[in-house]
Amino acid sequence: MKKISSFVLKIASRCNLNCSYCYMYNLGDKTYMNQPKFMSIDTISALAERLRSYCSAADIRFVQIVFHGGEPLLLSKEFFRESIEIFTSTCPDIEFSYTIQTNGVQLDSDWYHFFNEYQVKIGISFDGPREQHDRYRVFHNGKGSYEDVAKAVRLGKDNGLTGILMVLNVDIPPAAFYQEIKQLGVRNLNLLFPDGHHSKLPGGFDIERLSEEGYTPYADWLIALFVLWKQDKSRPTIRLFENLIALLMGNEHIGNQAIGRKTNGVAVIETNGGIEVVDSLRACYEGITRNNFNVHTGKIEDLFGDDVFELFYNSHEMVCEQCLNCPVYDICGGGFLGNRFSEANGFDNPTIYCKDIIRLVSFLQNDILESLPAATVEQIGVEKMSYEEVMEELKRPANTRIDKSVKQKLISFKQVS
Amino acid sequence: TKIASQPEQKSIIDEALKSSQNEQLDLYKAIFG
Repeated sequence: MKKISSFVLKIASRCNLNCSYCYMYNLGDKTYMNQPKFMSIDTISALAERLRSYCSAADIRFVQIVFHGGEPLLLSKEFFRESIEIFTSTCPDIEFSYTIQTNGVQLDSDWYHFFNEYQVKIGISFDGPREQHDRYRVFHNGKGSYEDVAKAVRLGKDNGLTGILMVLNVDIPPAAFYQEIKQLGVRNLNLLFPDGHHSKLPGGFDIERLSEEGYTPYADWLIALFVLWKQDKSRPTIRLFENLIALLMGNEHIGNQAIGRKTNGVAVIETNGGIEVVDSLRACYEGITRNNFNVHTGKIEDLFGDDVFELFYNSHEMVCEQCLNCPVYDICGGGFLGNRFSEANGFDNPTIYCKDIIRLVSFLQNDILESLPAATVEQIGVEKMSYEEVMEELKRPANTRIDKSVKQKLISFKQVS
Repeated sequence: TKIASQPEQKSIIDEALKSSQNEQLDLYKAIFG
């Protein structure tokens, strides 16, 4: 049986911000308008019952609950208190960990105190220096949210803030970005590639340069940041870098929907109780994540019958033929499924960040091997592999052919006939 | 591009990291550990 151990609860379908790049509202899918504004306690109770039976059948003892939205802090403390009590009392055999991902606008010392009391880990979405943050992360009246969010981040330094989540913005000079996170006292952050795909590229790409083999704007930015970060003796955690390095060095435990080769045991519980695949796939096309499964009427296992979930769960195995023959495949696993989409080929493409990932991974691999003693490198029998060498490798005839049924599934999501 | 796929490769790297005083390896020591 497939194992889902992380559940993202869309406890609010609306948000007090209107970020321009948000996959929930501004990237092609408007189905949020059919959802109730807030998740009900009845839905939490129904989910807890479904979790109890599913986790027992699938032999899952540890479950991560992520309170998400929309903006989850639009709900009351009582909602969170009651939800946690319901999960705990309904599922005594499951050990839960709780996380909330918030835009931080309403995150004050009362909220910090509350989440610390209930051992809920806190993540804030943040976009860097004021100018860039306020360009994208705005209130519905167009006013920027930097001041409110920066205040919450600073407050969190001594109040249990777990980490910061930032969408990569190559318009911010890496040095200015690093200075910003240092002056805010950020200790842990993760970087996300912007949502987008072959038919809707994110703004960081210059369309006219896409065909250039050496054009890797996101990797160039990340490598510049890595150099600053590595030199800093009091460096914060940057999860993307650490995970890629751990994968390169053979750690088998690392993996998420963007990198590695593990399955993606994550499901979304919609505001109305719908059981769906992760909502960031909504950037692909209208309704891609929607189905008729619901905790009020069915089981968690119903999701296994959803073609999109099947593909997402196995997305690091179900990749296009180019990925199967790529020297970086063991590290990136083909990248995030949503970034592989095109209207013409469905998911039968490499990610739009393919060249960037190859450049970044080969840079990190080279840096590790250059840092290790020469005798050690000789002993392990691994050679440095440059970006250019990987790209040359990809031009050779494929050694590994894609399974026909996999290719058929990948193409079946195309949106043009 | 993967540097260590086999247990013996990991052991060799582990030993090298433990015995090295090279500051350039501090980051990789922390992550490998």
